[in-house]
Amino acid sequence: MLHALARILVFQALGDLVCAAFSLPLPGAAVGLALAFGWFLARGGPDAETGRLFDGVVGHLPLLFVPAAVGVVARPDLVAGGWLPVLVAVVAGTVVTLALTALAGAALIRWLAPAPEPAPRGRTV
Amino acid sequence: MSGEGMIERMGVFLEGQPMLGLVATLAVYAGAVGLHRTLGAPTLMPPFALATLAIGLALLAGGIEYRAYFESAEPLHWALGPVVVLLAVPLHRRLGDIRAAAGLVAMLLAFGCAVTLGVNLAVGRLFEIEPEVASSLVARSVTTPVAVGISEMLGGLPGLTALVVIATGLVGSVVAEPLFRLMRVEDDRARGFAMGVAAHALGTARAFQISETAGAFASLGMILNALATVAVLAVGVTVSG
Repeated sequence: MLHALARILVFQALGDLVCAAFSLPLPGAAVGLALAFGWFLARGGPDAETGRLFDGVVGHLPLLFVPAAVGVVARPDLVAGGWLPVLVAVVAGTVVTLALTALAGAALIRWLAPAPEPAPRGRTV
Repeated sequence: MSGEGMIERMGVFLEGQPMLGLVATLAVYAGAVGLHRTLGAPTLMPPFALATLAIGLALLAGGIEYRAYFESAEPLHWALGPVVVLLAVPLHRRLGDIRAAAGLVAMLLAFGCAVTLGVNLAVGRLFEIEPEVASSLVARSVTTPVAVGISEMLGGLPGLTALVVIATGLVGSVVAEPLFRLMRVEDDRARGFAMGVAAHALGTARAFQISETAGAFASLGMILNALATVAVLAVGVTVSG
């Protein structure tokens, strides 16, 4: 586990370096992702340890966004300061974008590549 | 002892305790996971949204500065970097699916990017939002550091941009599943890609809870949409001088 984590952190640090060196308007982690992906391609896939590291965190990724997301709830000054239309715009805009993109995706899939029957899901919805 | 005095003391206590926000966040999240299960797993109330709401309201009730909380819970925020790098794992695992859907991905990227930019621009007009605020909304569907960079380029407000980006992710990840069910979008590639395009990393994190395929396509949508948005806006700004 330690080796996998160390490697991932090295990829992130390299990503930060690349972004700083070329003043790319991207987060270092995104370049780190590309580097890690390249490494996996070269080696024929992630090693088992890195795979397990990902599987260990994947179930609760949204937890990591809680500190940042609390800022939306805990800042009533923003709504009081006339930002209410902005928040309404954000909600409406996000729903429309999500709906249109998903519908277009579903339509394109029907047209281009009729999918095999969707795999049964692990949980009832 | 008056209630207010005690709450004030709690605020001071929090500021002196670098771990308390982290521990409280984990505890509240664990509680939210339990509550979510007890309520019969309603998709409109995912655990992280319940936890966010509970902590936000607690901060408001206790008069605790958001900044003090954030600094105390920041290790979770830092963990996002390595987790983004780790997205290379599902992308590689689903490489076959992604290759097979390359045409779909390209068309859907062009469509999704155009829709997000169009909607974000239209929303500014529709709600009669001031220009510098509207500029802060343009890139709200891409991940925070990229969106803040774009916003600055367009003369927007970086602080507001960061806030609307996270609000977008929050809304997108909460409404996505109920919305897809309503519209009968059942393909996890379409679901995931839409979540990554419309609600960046937070939508992607949520997509992994649908399936690994949804998560991999969300990662792809998030990355490609960020790159496409930067490219489109850079060209747009250059052309319009």
